[in-house]
Amino acid sequence: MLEGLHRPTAEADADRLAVVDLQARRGPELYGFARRLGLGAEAAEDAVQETLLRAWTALAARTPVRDLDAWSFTTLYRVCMDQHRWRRRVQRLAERLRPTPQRSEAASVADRLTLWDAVDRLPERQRAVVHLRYRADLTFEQIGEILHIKPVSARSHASRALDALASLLAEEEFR
Amino acid sequence: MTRDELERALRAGVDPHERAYRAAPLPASVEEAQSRLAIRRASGGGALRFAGAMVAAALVVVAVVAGYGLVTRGPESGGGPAASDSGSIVPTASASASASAGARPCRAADFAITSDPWDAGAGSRGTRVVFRALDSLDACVLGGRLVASIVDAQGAALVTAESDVTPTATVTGGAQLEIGVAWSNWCGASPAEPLELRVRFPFDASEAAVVPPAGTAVLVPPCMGAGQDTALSVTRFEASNRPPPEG
Repeated sequence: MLEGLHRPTAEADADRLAVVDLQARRGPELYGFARRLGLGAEAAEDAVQETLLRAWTALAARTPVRDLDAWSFTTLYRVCMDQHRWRRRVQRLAERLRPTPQRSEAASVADRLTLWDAVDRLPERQRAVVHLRYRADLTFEQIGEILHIKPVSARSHASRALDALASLLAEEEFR
Repeated sequence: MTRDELERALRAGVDPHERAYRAAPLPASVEEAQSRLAIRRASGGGALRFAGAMVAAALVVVAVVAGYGLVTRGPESGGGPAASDSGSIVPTASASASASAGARPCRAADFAITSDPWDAGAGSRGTRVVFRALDSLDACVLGGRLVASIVDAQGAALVTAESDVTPTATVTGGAQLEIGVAWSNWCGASPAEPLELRVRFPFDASEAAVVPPAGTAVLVPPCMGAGQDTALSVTRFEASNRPPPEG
């Protein structure tokens, strides 16, 4: 009887610990991924928090999660895409009310291009693959699952991204 | 840079984005995690909260201009005017902000609920309901839709409706909020009186009765269009500037 009462508590503790561990190990990489997908600082923090909450509730519901790390990147990717969709709608509404001032790119062009600036200039898919491959250290199979593309495509995006980065940085050297 | 050098630099270098990560505190229990997710969904997800925050910010301005004295306290508020010495209603831009405050969803039991006498106007009958957060309330998160019903003396619901969406906000003890309720077009048989207005908060299974002031009652609206449904409309929560009850 006591055992029956204790087991759920132990399981609940284990779920929480798994999420705490996930946050500690992967929090910065998840956040970096959300930023790299174009979210602002606050929205990215929010997206990571939502991912962690979803992970916890999935574990508590005994949803089969084979690889929690890859699962959390997949979930975060969906959360970010949802946010982009909503943001576009909200922006369209806001623009109708008040035209937003155009951002001047002069300042950023004048800045010296670092490796990470160059990464941020890559097309979205390449940015995502670079982050997942080199920051989150995931395999191309895992990256394929997260982005809903074939592993071979993930590999190809990474390869093209490296070429583009080399080219961007080379251009910078000659400026 | 060669490809190998690039790969090494990407792996070993410090990504400025990652460095900026601040881990928000996690909830204490899975139930709290679930309710925070439910609040996010009720308020339409992350980006809709962004829109909600914009609306909430506009509300603050409107409330202040109108002299409603919406209390904005806390780091995000920038020190707005305070209508009350105790409670506050802070528009919450994100669930993680709520999470860091450790707040749970608000329940009916967190408030003393009173209403104005029911009044007549433009074919409908209605009242304003005031929710005063108990002084002992630490903090709770309010957002989403309230459910209101008019029930007859036998407890049968005559009409039920959801309120407009309230943008997510953190409420603390002593804060005061209001909603408006309007009931129209009752073409059925005379209901068994006394009638009662009941409200249920989002994420709270229990209903609370809104008792009209002594000597008054819930008024039944006239039939304005036979064959058309009766309608109950409920506004979202707004900050209330009424003086707190004495005692």
